[in-house]
Amino acid sequence: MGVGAFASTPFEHGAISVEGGMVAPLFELSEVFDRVPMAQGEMSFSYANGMRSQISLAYAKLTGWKKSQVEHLVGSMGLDYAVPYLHGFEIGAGIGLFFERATSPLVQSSSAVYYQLSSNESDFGWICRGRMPLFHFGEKTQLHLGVNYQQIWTSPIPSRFFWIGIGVGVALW
Amino acid sequence: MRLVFILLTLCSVFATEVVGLEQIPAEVPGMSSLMDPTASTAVASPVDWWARSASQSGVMGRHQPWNPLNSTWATLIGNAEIPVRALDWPVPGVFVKTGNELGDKLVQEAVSGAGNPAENRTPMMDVSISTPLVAGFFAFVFLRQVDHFGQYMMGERFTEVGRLAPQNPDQQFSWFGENYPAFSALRGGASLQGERYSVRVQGGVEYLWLFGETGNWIGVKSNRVDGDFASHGFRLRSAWDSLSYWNQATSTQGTQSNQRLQLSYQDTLRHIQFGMDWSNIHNSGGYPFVADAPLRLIPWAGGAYSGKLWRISALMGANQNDWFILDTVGVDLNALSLETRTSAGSREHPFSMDEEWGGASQSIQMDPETPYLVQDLSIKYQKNPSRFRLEIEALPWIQVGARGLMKGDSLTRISDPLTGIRKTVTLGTTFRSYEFSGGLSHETRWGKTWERIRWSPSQLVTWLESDFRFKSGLRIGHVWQYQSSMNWRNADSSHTKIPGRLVWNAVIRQSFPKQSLELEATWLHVLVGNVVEVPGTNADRTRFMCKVAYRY
Repeated sequence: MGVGAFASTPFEHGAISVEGGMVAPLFELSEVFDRVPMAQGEMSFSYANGMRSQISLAYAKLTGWKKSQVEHLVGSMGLDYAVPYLHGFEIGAGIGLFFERATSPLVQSSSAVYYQLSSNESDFGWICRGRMPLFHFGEKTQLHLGVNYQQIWTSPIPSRFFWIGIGVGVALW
Repeated sequence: MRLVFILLTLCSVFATEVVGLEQIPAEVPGMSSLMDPTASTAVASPVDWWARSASQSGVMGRHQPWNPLNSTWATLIGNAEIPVRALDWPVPGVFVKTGNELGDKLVQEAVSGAGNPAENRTPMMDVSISTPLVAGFFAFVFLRQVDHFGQYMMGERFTEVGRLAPQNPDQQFSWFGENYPAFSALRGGASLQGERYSVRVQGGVEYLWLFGETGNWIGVKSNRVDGDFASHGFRLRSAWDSLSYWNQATSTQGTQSNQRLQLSYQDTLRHIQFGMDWSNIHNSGGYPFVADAPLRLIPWAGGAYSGKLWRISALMGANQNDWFILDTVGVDLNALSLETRTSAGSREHPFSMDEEWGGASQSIQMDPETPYLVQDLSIKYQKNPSRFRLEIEALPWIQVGARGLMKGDSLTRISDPLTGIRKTVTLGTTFRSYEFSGGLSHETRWGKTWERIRWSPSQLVTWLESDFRFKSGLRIGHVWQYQSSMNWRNADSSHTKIPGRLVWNAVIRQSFPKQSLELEATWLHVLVGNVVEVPGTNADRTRFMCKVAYRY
């Protein structure tokens, strides 16, 4: 078993990983925002019943809207499950806290319309993810492919993102 | 000794195993009554809300009769306790809880345009940190702010205090953010528990927006210090509350100094208690709540007896102006139990302010000077065969002197009696580590004066809840609750009917006992349709909160 091995005692194993990839805004958002790079750092611990707990922080700078940049920061917490017979393929889900802020003066100084995004805005949502181990380097290090779906509980409709990346994880204990 | 210890540990283990359905946590401890699935509730703001559970009778609304033994000491207005201000003493540890009303626009602004500020969703935060418990002593500090239920009225509150100096928290009426939230408090304190005594002190600064009886939003800043000393059954409680108010729009400024003291004695073996409450209120300038008699003193005494068959408790007090009685008499006959409860008094709260002043033409008498009485009889049948629980309760009640609104803002007591019978059925079952419970509570009402009551709670409340506990320390609990329509009597003698609603509340909690760590996520009022439950106030919205707690 790979990095951050699944065990039945909470915190028996611990691991860290970093992941880099591309994030794609979905549906209506895809018409406004570009596909941009995204990075994520993560800590994971063994949990129970063959599951693993993860806590992660991901960041991207969304571009394409009014020549503006929107900072997109996601903190999430959830559980991963290693699917049997699928060579270490993991699926997971969790709760996410999404923080966003537009940095462009075009949005901030527009006098006619006040965009709330020009100040700090945050709301909650959930994430769903999959992870496929690619290579192992010794006992403690592993390269993986990760896919990630994020949904923010926004109005009038939820905001959705999808991202795919390559990451490296190291088992700490 | 060791055996006793083991037995106690076993008992506590079993106690945690067999407990009933745990209530879903509210934003902050002071709002927990809103989470009672049997309760009909209406929320104006975190500070002002109305709730009535299935076991309560009468239509007291937020004007629950004062009880010296469990008063929240929310001394702000006096006639309605403000539960969110109630003192609470954290357990030694650290916790962070944060949440938001769901449905902010965020990146959706890029698609559908800038969001209307009144539609903005607002957060909450409750952060507490304390020292470890050393020789019975610990000190703590906490920051508690609930911006929920606030956005709609933000404009009005903003007009009152203005944005003179945004960096000055006094101008923003909160410790952080720019939402002018209804409740924002920073408090610190210390607690020392010895074998024969306990001393606790807590102090802080709070910003509050009150929804007054006049329908005005009233911003108040409170500097408050509370003390509590107990030894050998004696207890001395004191509170000093220095309140300041200013309204830029009407250029009104005023302060109130509000001092409270209680000296009491409780004999836990003989079940007797007596004591004295003292209050001194001093206004200066244009403070909106006025007390006619600044100095008040009320001695009280009570006792309780509980035998195999009978249970009796009584508590009463009086001074030259006020009196109150809180009595219960109960009989337990196997599965059947009967209990009568009497609550009567010259007014609900002996320390109530007398008048709320809302500008030149507006003022309202806050405490009508006619006595009130609530009398009920609870007839309860309980059956707990091994796996199932059944409880049937009939609760006829009568209330004389309920608070009502006459035309033209005047608050009065209604001398015609209001009567009702509440019928409640609760069913529960436990299957392995899953627990289910459901119930229905309906009230039949008589009396011609119901339409003059400010808040008429729902006649029908039904709920269905379940709790799953996994061995890994994971708990998933949720509740479906339906409450039928409520009725508000407005000051202009018109009525607002609040439609019935179905809500879903859920909690996911993970505890790691070995690491003394607890994580919690809560969803409240999922499925609500942004309904305004109290006319002239904020809409009820879906909320999500998460919490991380570590106990030393």
